Amino acid sequence: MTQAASRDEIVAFVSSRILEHVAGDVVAIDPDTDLVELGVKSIDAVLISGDVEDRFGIEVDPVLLFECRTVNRVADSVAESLARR
Amino acid sequence: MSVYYIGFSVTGHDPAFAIVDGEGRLLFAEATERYVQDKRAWGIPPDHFDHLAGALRRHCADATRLVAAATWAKPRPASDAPGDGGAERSFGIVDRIQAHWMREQQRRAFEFYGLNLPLIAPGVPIERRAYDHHLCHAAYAAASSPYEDAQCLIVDGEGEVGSVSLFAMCGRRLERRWRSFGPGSLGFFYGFVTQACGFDWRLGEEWKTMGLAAFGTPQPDAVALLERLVGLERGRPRAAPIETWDEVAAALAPWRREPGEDVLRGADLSASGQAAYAALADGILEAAELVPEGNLVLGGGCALNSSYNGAIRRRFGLGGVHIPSAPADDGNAAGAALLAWQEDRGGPPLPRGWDNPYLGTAPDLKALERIVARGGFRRVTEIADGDTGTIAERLAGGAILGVMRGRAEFGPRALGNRSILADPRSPEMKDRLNRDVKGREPYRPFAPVVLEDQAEHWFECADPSPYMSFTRRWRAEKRAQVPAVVHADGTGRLQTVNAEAAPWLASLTAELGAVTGVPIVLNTSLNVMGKPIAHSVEDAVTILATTGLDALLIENVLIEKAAA
Repeated sequence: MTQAASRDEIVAFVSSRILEHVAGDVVAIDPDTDLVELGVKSIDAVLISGDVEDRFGIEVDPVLLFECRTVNRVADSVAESLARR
Repeated sequence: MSVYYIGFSVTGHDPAFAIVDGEGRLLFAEATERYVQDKRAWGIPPDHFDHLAGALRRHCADATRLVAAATWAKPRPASDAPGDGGAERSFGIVDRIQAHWMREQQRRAFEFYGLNLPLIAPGVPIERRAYDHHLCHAAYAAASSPYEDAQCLIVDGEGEVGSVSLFAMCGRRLERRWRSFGPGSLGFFYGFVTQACGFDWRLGEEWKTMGLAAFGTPQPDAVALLERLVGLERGRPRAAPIETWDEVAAALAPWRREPGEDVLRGADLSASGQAAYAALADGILEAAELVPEGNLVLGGGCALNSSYNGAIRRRFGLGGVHIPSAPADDGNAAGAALLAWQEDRGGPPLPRGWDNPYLGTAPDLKALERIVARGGFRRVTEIADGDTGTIAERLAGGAILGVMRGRAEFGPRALGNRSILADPRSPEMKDRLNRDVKGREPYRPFAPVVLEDQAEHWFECADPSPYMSFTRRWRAEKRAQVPAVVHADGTGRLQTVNAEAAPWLASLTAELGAVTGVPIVLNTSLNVMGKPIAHSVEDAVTILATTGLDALLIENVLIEKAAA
């Protein structure tokens, strides 16, 4: 994955990973909803941070999701890291 | 201007420090446990004042600048922070109180590392830095390897984000390929097995589990239970939920051994744990982007699993496998110092000349003089320099000899400088050593020293093993000649020696062969059960005086219990 990853791609990737981890009937992720409200647990947040690192080839802190709180802010942070690279 | 880089291991257990000079040479490295004589030295700061002061006096007298480098970029989060659950869930063996305690040990070590330096070196500017835990492991492991290019795999209990990191070394430069996130580690898995076998992970008794495995048979049901604890996703370990650990712990009851029970009761569980460990380790290696006939550098505490390591090269079709003498958390003190040096030089390739394991403190000759003059020993002989024939004769006569010569080994294995040596031909030697000298369980095995160019004659695999990192199978027809160093499963955790890297031990091995016809020396560490390897001359003499050791060679002075 290179800088070409669009913001939409990042949102889609993070949302899909969250859907895999969150139990229940959630079928779509509102990118502005707080992740805790979505039911993302701390362990899920760490694992998804790792998935983001693998997918986009940037160094990601394990607390990325919890610091950013929403999918949109995660995408902003990742896009910023990709642009800096 | 002389700058020195002091690496400090700040995990909270296995503290150590290492000194690298401005040319990138590793001048000194030693675990704190040796100096304080407290196994694993839990909670003891790595910059123990007197230990550090002595080494700086000897190696950094002209320092005009010091850089203190820590082996973690930051401490693990406190128990209530995001990302919590790492230690608790990974372990399955520590409760909340223990997890909190472990993190406090680390937090303190991290907060205070290097703060003794201004007192030790007044007026010298000091800078503190911190580096990624697995990168420290990798830097040291890769620098100590002979390779230009290799995959460098770090597997341990946990780092800042997870327990596995893969690096590629190209032209002796490291680049991270991937790392695992979150709980789930082979280190904690093995700790769980160790507890279930009635041993104590906190004391580092994983050795006992590994040694005991040779007496048992993997039980399919037990292996299946253990496999539920840690899964793998593209080589990344993933811990099962904590409830699963509890269920598995309960279901292992038929094989479990409680502390104090007959040791062999834990044999099948150890063997099952070792088998499950091997399957997990295989899964990680399969994701390590290995190249046929390429090289592998292995680091992190799991690289001490010599039973597993023994066959990696052949099984994975590799050109070479290198494991440093101190792959666990003591070793990455050297890595942190090296990374600080590299940072100041703009990231040059990893230096060479890092393959010498004899990096610790040398015996204090004044203490030796005093002990010889006042100790009241019945027989003290000065051996001519290089006269290994005299020593070989003593060994051949059945003597058990402690050795303290030159600088101490860096890492957990005694490689001839802080060793107990014996002739392995006698079937009673193993029992004598375990019972009368080491004070440990009768099943515990001993390692053989073999001349590198004769390894093929004795073992089914002739690959070098200079730091006892690999367990290999003895040739079946040779086993009866050296019963004291053949493990229950026909293997031996061999040390291969040559005249260049270990001249004294190589010469002694050849001399013993000349006397007995069997050029193999039994080599075990100069300590008693539960204690670290002897550090001072006084430590060594205490072992002589309080155990069945027959003699002690300190430098060239042979102290014997028996009268002439």
